[in-house]
Amino acid sequence: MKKLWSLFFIFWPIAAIVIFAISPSMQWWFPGEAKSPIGARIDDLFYLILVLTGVVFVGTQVALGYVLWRASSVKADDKAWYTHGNHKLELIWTVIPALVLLFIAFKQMDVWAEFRIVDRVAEEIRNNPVAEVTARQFEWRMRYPAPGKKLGIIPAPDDMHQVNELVLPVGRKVVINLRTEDVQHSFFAPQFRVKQDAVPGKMIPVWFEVTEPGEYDLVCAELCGWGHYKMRAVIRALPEAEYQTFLAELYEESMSDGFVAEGEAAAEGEGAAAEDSASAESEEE
Amino acid sequence: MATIEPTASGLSAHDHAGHSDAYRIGFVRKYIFSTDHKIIGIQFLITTLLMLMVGGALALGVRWQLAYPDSPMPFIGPWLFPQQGGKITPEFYTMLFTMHATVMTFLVVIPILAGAFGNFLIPLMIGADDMAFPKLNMFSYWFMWPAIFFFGLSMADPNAGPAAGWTAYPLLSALPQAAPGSQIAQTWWLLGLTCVGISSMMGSINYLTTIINMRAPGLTMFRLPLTIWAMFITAILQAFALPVLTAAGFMLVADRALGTCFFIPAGIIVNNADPTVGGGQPLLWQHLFWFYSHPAVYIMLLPAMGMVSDMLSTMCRKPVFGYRPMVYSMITIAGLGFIVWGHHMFTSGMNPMIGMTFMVSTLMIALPSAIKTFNWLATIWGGKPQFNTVFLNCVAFVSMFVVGGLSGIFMASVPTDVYFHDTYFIVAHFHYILFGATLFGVFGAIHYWFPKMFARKMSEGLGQLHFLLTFIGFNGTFFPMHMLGIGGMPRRYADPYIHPYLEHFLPMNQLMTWSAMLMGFAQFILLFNFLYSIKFGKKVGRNPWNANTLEWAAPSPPPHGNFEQVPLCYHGPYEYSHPDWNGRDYLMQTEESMEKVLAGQTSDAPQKEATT
Amino acid sequence: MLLSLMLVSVCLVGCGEIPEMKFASHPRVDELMPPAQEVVKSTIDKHFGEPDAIVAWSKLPVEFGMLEGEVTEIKDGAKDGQKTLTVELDETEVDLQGDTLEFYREDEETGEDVADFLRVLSYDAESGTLVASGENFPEEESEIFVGGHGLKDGQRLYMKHCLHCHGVTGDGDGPTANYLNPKPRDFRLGLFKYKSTDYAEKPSHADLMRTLDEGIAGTYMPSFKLLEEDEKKAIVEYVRWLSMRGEIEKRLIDFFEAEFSILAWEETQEEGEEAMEGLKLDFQDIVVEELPFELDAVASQIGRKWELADDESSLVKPTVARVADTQESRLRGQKYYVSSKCITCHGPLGYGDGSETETYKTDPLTNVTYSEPGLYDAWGTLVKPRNLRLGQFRGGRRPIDVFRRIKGGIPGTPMQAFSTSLKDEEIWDVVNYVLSLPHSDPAVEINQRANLETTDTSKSSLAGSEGE
Repeated sequence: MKKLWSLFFIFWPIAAIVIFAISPSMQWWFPGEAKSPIGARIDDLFYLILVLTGVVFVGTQVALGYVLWRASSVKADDKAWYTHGNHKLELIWTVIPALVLLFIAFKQMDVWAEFRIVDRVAEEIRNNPVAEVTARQFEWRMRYPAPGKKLGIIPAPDDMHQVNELVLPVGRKVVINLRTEDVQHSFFAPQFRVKQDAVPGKMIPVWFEVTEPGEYDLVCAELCGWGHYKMRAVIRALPEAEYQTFLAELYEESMSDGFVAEGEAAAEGEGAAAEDSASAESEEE
Repeated sequence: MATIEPTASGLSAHDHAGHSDAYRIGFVRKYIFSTDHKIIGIQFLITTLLMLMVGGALALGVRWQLAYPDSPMPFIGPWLFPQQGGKITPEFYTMLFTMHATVMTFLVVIPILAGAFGNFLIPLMIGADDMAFPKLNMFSYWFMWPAIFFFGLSMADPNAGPAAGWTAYPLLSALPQAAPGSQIAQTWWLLGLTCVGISSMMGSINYLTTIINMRAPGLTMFRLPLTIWAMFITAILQAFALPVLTAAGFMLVADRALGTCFFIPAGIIVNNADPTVGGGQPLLWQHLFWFYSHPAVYIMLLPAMGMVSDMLSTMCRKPVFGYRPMVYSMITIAGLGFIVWGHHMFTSGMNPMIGMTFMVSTLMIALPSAIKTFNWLATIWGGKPQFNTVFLNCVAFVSMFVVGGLSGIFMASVPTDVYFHDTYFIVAHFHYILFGATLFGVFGAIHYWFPKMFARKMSEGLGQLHFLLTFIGFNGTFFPMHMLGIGGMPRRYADPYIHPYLEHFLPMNQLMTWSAMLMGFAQFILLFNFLYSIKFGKKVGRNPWNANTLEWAAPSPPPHGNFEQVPLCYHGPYEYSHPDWNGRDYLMQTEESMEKVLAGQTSDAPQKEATT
Repeated sequence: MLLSLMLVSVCLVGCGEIPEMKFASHPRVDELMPPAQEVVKSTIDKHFGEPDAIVAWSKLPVEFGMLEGEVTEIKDGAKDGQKTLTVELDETEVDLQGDTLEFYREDEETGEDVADFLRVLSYDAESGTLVASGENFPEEESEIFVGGHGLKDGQRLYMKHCLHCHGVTGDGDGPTANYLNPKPRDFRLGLFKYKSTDYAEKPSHADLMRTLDEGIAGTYMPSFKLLEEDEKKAIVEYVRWLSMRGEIEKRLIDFFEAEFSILAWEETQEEGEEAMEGLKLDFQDIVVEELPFELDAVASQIGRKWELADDESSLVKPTVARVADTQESRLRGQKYYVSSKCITCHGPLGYGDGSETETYKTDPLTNVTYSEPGLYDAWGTLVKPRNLRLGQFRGGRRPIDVFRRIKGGIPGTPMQAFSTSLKDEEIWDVVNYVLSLPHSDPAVEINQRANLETTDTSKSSLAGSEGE
């Protein structure tokens, strides 16, 4: 029975390690590779810590298993080892973890600085946020400046709006202004490994770079009420040229007056009508 | 080593023997409004075990929703939500996890450690006849009940129970219009929190006074068992951190009821109510809350650490490896515990420079934890354990604590925390600490000190079965949460599967739910074992484990006043298996030396009985 | 012991009695006399069923996935009330289990054709046979409609995403609805606020779709943009069906209310046995003679309106392009804002605090004066006129959206349609003015008005004086 219990305590860490080992192939892992440079650095740091903690985990669990195994084979008339401690040993297992922890601490400082310290972003980028993201119960509302204009703190009449969809250019660092209309929310883009709380009464700039075009998730990571889980949005990353086209189209759409000039096909759907009228408008101007 | 060093403390030095004989009081004063620390301890224990059942049931509700979000919830679903086919609403789900966390932290883990074991063990282990302030002690127990009442009231609110999570971040918790549960329920919840705070506060003052003033002659600070050291440090943490939370709670109540704006900024419109007038700062709550609640994590862990050290030493028949480093590391943990609260707020938008400071202090707090782990391993090393329920639970404590501690490193490191913050990774982490470590320690402690409480042993077979099922259920429930966290699944989602990138985690969540049910049912074994053994357990003498500490020198169960005579303390608590000894491998703290024990010449009469 | 405990618990978990979801009757049903209540309830139940057992009624323009066909053979089924039908349908490879089979039979008493429904228990596509249950069965070679599966997805998704607020019945009374402000929409009146069609028309598919896509800013209706296109379509279809169900129920209640209310029932009861018999006979006559026609007429009428909504002719379209957004245009807009009485609700500066919000109104249905002053909507709730300076536009913020709000009005609310009182150019001026409000300084505006007052003594002085 004693041996069985010792094996039991050895078995479970093995199971744990096996599960961790097979997880990436079972999709129980990150939602895809990091799609931002900062995300890649965070992943590297994660793997570094994973290796370090993995070694410690294996070490301590093996040690535990070993001492249990040894203890299980102690005979009835054997005596336990009488010791009150060993200073040298304790010094060793104080200093080594301390060094490892300091190593981790210094290793990550630069990643953190890259992520949050405002000086790391060029002034040019910092002063030209591409969008304002406003979280509210329970959706994300985006505001973009009209093409060729700067995004103001106060909404401008020609700002463009979108719901639950954030469109960003690929390949350059962008700044978005994060706000909340009501309670606290958190901007979490898992594929970019970016997370920032939206705090009531504050406007917080967030910056990152998307490396690949595609559609990515944007969710809320701070309890914001009963519909917390409903705050699903998408970040659509477009190459620069397509991004500019998108902005132009969004501008036309948001200025749509629904007018269809005579002679043009009247039976078309609403979307088509909007486009037509927008072009008609631009002709007028 | 074996010299007598009686202290000047004369507080407990009056005649106890006569006292206990003459002590006759009625049932109500003896068992209900009792001022006896042992009765209060057992009251705490039974209450918290009941609350454990409540909290567990709430957790199973949470788990059910995560596994079967589109199915009716068993039992309560059809009862509460018949019109929608028994499917629970999202705000009911927020109530479930809010109350699960609330009940588990404030009504189970904190009171079972400090309230139940602290009360029962402190006077016994330091050789005192009772707490320094018995009436205060009684109040500390009875203040649990208003708390339970208020929490119950908030849960039963027909609009919906409190919905802001146990962290109760404003504005969700500050504005009544922000959620159905933020109406009156949140106020009840805060009142409950205040009552718990008062209860803990009275307890901690009592513990501090008792430990400082009422130790038996000869029991110097560095002869205290680690359990007492842990309780002592915990009491200090509580005494210093709790007022902050209580103040914050009052501020939040004032924001809600009196129109103050400590946490409410201006111009916020929620649910089309009038804009707030404001001027406050929601982050302030987070600072205040975590200034208490981070040390609270250690309040919820240190006593278990202390008890496990004692139990491991006794079970392995071996002195604790590095007694003083163990004490110093606990003190370090407590000290550092006050300056790491910011690591809960890395993503909150506070100054990133402060983030770095908190990151370093947080990583440093891993150090004393590492020392303790290695010392436990070394304590088992070369020991001669019996592999009984107590020992198994203690080993599980160490093993689970390692997992919880190591996953904490990911959280301490700011950039990785940014990703893991508010995902299931953190849920896995703190459950490994609070359940995996603390509760396994508590299960061990229940089995270990049960003979002192009721003079009977709990059933070993049921105990091991309970341990096995709990351990399997626990790991089946919480280990996969690491994967969910790495997969980016945010916590507190009533229906995560509306997000396509989380859809494939459904089968894993179902497995976790079934594990959780297994674990839940396993607790009935403990309950049965506990109740059955009170009446029918195997009768044992006053020192069934052949342990050294003072409580085992008292009769079982200890009478009013605990000891027949003031125990004299001759040495530290961990004298096991000295190579020079023959015949017996332990030397109680009340025994001067092995020669005298063997010669039957001990000065105190009770010690003869103790060996039977 | 443990194992048995676990087994018992698993059984309890697995076999717990789960109540079925049920549609709730409109509370106004209770105002009818008891037999009439029964008739309304059973009629609605027959033609609409329950959430988990939807009846596909071919009268309604809803995508039930309806198949048309013919019965070729009828055999007795395994149980009473079941028969095996061999059918020829225009499509075969569809899973029809759980659908309804609609057919027409001659009513025994009136001799008229009435619709009847069977529930399809199983369907074998290869042999074209289906087992159906019900009271009456069609004759051989009669025409049938089989459908209902088209709404299943919509029903499931509605229960997942919409139920918390809008309720099982679509009555805007879900479990979360209580504390929401504004209240979730009650679809049963058949009124929808934000749409692109004329005031009196239903919303088009595209309108409901747009509401799902964009949400309604400033309310708890979030955007469901990221659901799949066909998921959103399914939800829209289900909501349309719920609305039709509610509206037909309401019309049936209206139909009986005049003569067969609970009041009439109680009064007759006092008059004695004979009068009571008379009332019951009258009622029986109406149910047999008139109800089928009334139901038919109501369903056709409502169905046609829903169909019409998707027609191009219902769309509110500007006949002129937007007037350039100039200062002059805005000032003209402001003038119309005053002269068209926008000001009485939305207030002199657009804060939604016009004089109407201070007056006491009466409920048009009951003629009872509301206890709170202000404006009320068709659902009987107090509504605030929109604060135009918040920059929140519930029906959309594009110029065309604001144009449609003004020209087409907002059904169910005091916001009427201005299609007759204002020309399209003038509406554009108002649009320009309204869209400028969130970005203009009220103080500047007050000054401007003061200036206008001194320079222009004609009409615009009205704006100035009322604006102060």
